Amino acid sequence: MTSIIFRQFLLLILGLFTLTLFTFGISQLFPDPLILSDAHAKTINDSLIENYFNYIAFLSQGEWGLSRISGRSVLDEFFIYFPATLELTTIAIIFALVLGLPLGIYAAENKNKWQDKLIVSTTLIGYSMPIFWWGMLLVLLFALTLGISPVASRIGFEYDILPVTGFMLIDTLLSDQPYALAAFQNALQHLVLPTIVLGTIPLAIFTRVTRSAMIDALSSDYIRTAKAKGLPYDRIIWSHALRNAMIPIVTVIGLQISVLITGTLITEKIFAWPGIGKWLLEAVYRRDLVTLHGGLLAIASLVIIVNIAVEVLVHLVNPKLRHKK
Amino acid sequence: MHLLRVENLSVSYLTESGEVPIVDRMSIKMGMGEILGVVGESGSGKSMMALAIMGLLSPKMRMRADYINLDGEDLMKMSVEDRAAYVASKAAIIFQEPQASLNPCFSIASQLDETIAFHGGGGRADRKTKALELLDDVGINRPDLVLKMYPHQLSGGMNQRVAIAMALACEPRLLIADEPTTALDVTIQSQIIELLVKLSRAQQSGLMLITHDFALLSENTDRIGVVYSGQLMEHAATENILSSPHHPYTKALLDSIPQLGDRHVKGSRLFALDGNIPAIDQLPVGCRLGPRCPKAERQCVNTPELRSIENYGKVRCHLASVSSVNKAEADS
Repeated sequence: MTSIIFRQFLLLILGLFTLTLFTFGISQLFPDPLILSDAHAKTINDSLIENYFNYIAFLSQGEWGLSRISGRSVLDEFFIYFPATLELTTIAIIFALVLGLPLGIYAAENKNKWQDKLIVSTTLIGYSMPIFWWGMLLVLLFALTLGISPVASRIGFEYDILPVTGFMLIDTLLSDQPYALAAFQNALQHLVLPTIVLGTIPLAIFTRVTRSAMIDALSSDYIRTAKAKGLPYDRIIWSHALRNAMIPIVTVIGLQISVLITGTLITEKIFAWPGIGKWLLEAVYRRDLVTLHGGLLAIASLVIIVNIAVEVLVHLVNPKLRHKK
Repeated sequence: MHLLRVENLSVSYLTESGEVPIVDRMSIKMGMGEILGVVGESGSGKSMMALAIMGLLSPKMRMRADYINLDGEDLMKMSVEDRAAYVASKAAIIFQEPQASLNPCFSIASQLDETIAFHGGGGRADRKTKALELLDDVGINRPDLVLKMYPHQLSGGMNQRVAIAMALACEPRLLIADEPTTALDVTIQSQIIELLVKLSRAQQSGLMLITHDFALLSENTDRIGVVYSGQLMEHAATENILSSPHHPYTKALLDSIPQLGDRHVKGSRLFALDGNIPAIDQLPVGCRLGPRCPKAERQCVNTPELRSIENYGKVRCHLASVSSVNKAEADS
């Protein structure tokens, strides 16, 4: 197991290294040289290779440059906007998992019956739904027509919440204002529509993957053995079959997290969510290349880290991989 | 008192165009502690019969039977849940592919422990002792090491031993071994069969040994049932079948066993029946062996029934009594 973690760690380093090659290459296309700090500006010369290594050196010291618009450090800004994105993404993944796994298992149990067909066809629709359109439909129905949901942003403007952790759900509870609990509820209400919009595609994918993995597992010989041993039905499904089905499911979860991080860009725009997506889109409009460079680097690093973490998790879930030398 | 009495067990497969019969009115009896061999070609329905008795048929299968009496209770009169619980308490089954029939995601310890716990195994420490004992019983040398391992870390033979240990953890009165050695090396095969026979004799439990290898059955079984195309062709004591097989199919099976040593005739070819086992939806009229049978006569277009023959057993062949008479004449 330690050798696997070590190997994945090397892969991580290699991945990040390759990433900097790309971002450095792109920064060469900028009209002005990319300047991370005053000290960095002094090191810039004609040698591309020397520039590249200086670039890495300053990046690794946390010098990611200053935004041309706000004048603040790009890395600081990233950490201001990131919690909002992380909160939304995490809740969306949990939403997709909590709904997707049981739906997939239910469909597999009723394979080829009408329940299964209904679930499979619905997930196909969910999967093919363009989320910008889906988001607007939901806003139109629930926020504008029915008026049971807020239209946009993270919390109502009447609540004044001090950002401590950056996660609205936690900050509202930490707040010493008398309306802390009401603010928490309000923040939850604001989360509902974005979560559904962002979670629809992962939900469809998790349902389908769980269904096919469970069908595979349920038709296998070891399930027949478990039945012959007289084990209760629930135990066969939730322990023996699901444990094996988790191997493909975990892999897909990992892939979906990466997709979700990019999916937030659109969702955040629709719901005026003050996260990374909104921050980066604004940087694009304002031609704030330093911010764009930093945001790109941060998101790509995040995707690489998540993928490597999932790879380690896959090894943990699958005993066959765990024991491979 | 019989351990198992199955009367007219039929299994069919549901397709869009109707039911396809796989097992046709099979009747089998097993005494307490008896070892019964069931032999037949691949696809003859012998495994389906075993799965039907255990209640493990896939949802696309349908089974019917007058009764299946297991250790004094009729399974056909029970609800699905009662039946599953009762069968699990009385019978256990071992499958063909040991590697696949153990769950790849759980260690041997947890799979054994779960089985022991479910069959009333007591506290944690007791269960561990029991698991070690079981592994020791099935001839595993370092039970403590094997307990910590996963199925993919063990060889096929070891996995089959573990599967047997797991079956024994259910403390079955009847153990069904469905081609337990097909996926194993020849040297391991005899070890596994010997182990099964030894355990069955030691615990006075019944053993149903399903195989397509007649040679495996000859030394170890009390009685043999010969299955062809979903029908029981012959059901008699092992020595009767080996010394004077009444059914042409049984005879053909015995003739197709390679002979070594003195009995081997140099340059001779192994006997084989012409043709193949008929597809289940293209069965011949009358006797199902008919077109392939070397002794077929005009009357074989009538469907033969399973008939009792005195001092022998049961045979499904029109010619059986005739041939036994012929044999008597030849002896005199």
